[in-house]
Amino acid sequence: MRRSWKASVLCAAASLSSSSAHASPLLELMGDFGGTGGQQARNTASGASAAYFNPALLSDVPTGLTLGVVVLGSRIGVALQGRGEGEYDVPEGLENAAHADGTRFDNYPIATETLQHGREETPSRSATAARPRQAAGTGKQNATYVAIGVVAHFFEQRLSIGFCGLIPMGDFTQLRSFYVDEREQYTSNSLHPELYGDRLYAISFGFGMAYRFTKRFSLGLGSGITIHAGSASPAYVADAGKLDGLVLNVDVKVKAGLAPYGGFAYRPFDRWQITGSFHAPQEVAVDNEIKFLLGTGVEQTSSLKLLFDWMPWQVGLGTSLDLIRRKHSLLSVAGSALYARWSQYVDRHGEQPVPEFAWYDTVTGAVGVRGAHRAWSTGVDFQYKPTPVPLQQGRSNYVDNDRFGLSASLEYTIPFRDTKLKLGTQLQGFWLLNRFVRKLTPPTFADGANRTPALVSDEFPDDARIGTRAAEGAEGLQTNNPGWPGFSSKGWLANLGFYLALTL
Amino acid sequence: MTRHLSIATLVLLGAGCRFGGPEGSPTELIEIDAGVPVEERDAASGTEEDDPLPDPPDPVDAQPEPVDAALPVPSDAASCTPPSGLECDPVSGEGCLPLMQCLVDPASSTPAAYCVFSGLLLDVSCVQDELSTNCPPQYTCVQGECRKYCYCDADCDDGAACADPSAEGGSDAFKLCERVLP
Repeated sequence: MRRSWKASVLCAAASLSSSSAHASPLLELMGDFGGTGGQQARNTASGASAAYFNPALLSDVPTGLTLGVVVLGSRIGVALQGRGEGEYDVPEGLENAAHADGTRFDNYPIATETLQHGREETPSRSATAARPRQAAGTGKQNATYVAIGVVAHFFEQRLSIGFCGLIPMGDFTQLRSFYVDEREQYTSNSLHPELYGDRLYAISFGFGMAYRFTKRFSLGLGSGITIHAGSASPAYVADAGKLDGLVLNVDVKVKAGLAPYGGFAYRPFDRWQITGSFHAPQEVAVDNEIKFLLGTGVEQTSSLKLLFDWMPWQVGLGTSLDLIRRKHSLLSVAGSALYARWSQYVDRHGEQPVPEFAWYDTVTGAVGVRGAHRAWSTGVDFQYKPTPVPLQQGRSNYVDNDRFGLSASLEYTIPFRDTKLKLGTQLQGFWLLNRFVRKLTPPTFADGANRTPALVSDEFPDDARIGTRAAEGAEGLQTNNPGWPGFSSKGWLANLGFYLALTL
Repeated sequence: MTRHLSIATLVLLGAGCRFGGPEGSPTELIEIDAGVPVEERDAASGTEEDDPLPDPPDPVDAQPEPVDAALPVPSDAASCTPPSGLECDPVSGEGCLPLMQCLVDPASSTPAAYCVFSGLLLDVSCVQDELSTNCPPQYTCVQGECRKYCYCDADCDDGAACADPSAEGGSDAFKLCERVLP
């Protein structure tokens, strides 16, 4: 009786939280928090995080409540290659330049010297702040999260429901966009890790349920939420030279869609288990539409689509084998592979990598050992995740590296009346292997046309004219692409967590 | 049981790989206006309109060049052979354990090198001490810049000269690469 009362309370808590369900890159990095599943949570999750990774595993997770705290640090460095002696620099005074046929450039770069050192105010010109190359990198981060998990069972343990979440302390979530080509010169003029950074502050909830069909087979389903926000902003600009007098309204609408996931767990023999899982793509999309009305009566509309926390289709397969299985001792080995369809990647500005530098689909592999002896449980995992990003020899500067990961967890169980109190800790380290790329030099042409759009853009076309005269120094390549002529990246991430679980 | 284990092993062997990826050559020229002849001006790329660019050097083993390096100095064509008796070779980067790299010993009056821990270059400038450096392997930190070690010009990238005497140590066995203007 007492047990069913506790289960009902836990169920109510799970139901209230399910409306916020959302999966994220953060959960993927953290793995099985609150258990010994480590980096094979889809295969061997023993805590509430099974609700996200493989809901079928909830059948074997005891009813209970888990609370914990995790500290995560990332140090991802990007070093830019020197630009030489200025032969690729964009000169000043291009504001009024045009192609030989009088048409305007697609894009007007800032002078390289102004970007690097800024510009002082003069009677005829306003001051411009300096944006030195890579001075605004975002690879160094520290974050703390509160972890919560709930699991409950019903109908003689046949139906299981679970919820897990990681809530960042401080910034609840971060959505930070940046361009991966020469357009970034206007903002940070730096390169940023593509799959970390603000993605480590994603909203991270998972809700799932499992049904145990037989003693050896369970099936689970869950869902996250894909968020689509639309923003329409009518703006009135009385004087284009005084934008501080902008008159602006905002009309924001947020829609939520389902991002389902699910899995199975099958134990052909007492000592052997096979698992499988799938996760549908997830994202947070923001559509912006700004309709400008100028003082002259002219109306213009600008649209911008932003995408954050994009995750691909993922399919996982795993297996574990109990080598020692006694009353008070257990030793098992586990291995798993996770396919991710990164070739469909859409970046923060809603753009896909060009075919010449299309991303790879990846298979991430992990192997590990699980052990338990009386009150102690432990797990160790080793993971290798190849980067989906090809060498960035062209216009784009997606920064990502192959990654090795090592995780270790330790748990101690204390009987407490009718329940068990579990104290656990988890330590993970990820090493991003050094990667260097030197970009290809694009050919330039006398007519100023760009015939290699996948390569770095010549921002000062060779046919440039200022007035009726040919612009000096236009021959060859001039670019402010922050990744030109090359860059290297490497780094690490680590997290340490502690948790307390009360289970039946 | 054994058969099932074999299947599981095969699944694991396939893990940790990637497939798909880039399609087509990024250097292939697209047609803008077939009727208008074009004159290519970039002598550095040296390609015809219909020819793709030559393959770049393999970037896997390449290293970042020094940022804003100095003008070139003619090479004295020094020997490419490392001094004998080194604990590790700072030019080839060999002789150290994983996650460590080789630096010239600044305290020794004879050619000497030792291993330090590899750090992480978070900014444009670098930091180096007796225990660690955040420059890439085969590089050293000189006045806030990562500079590549060399014995002779062949150790430098892109035709750079091996001419700058190392500021480290009392020996002239080690030099630093300098940048050559294109």
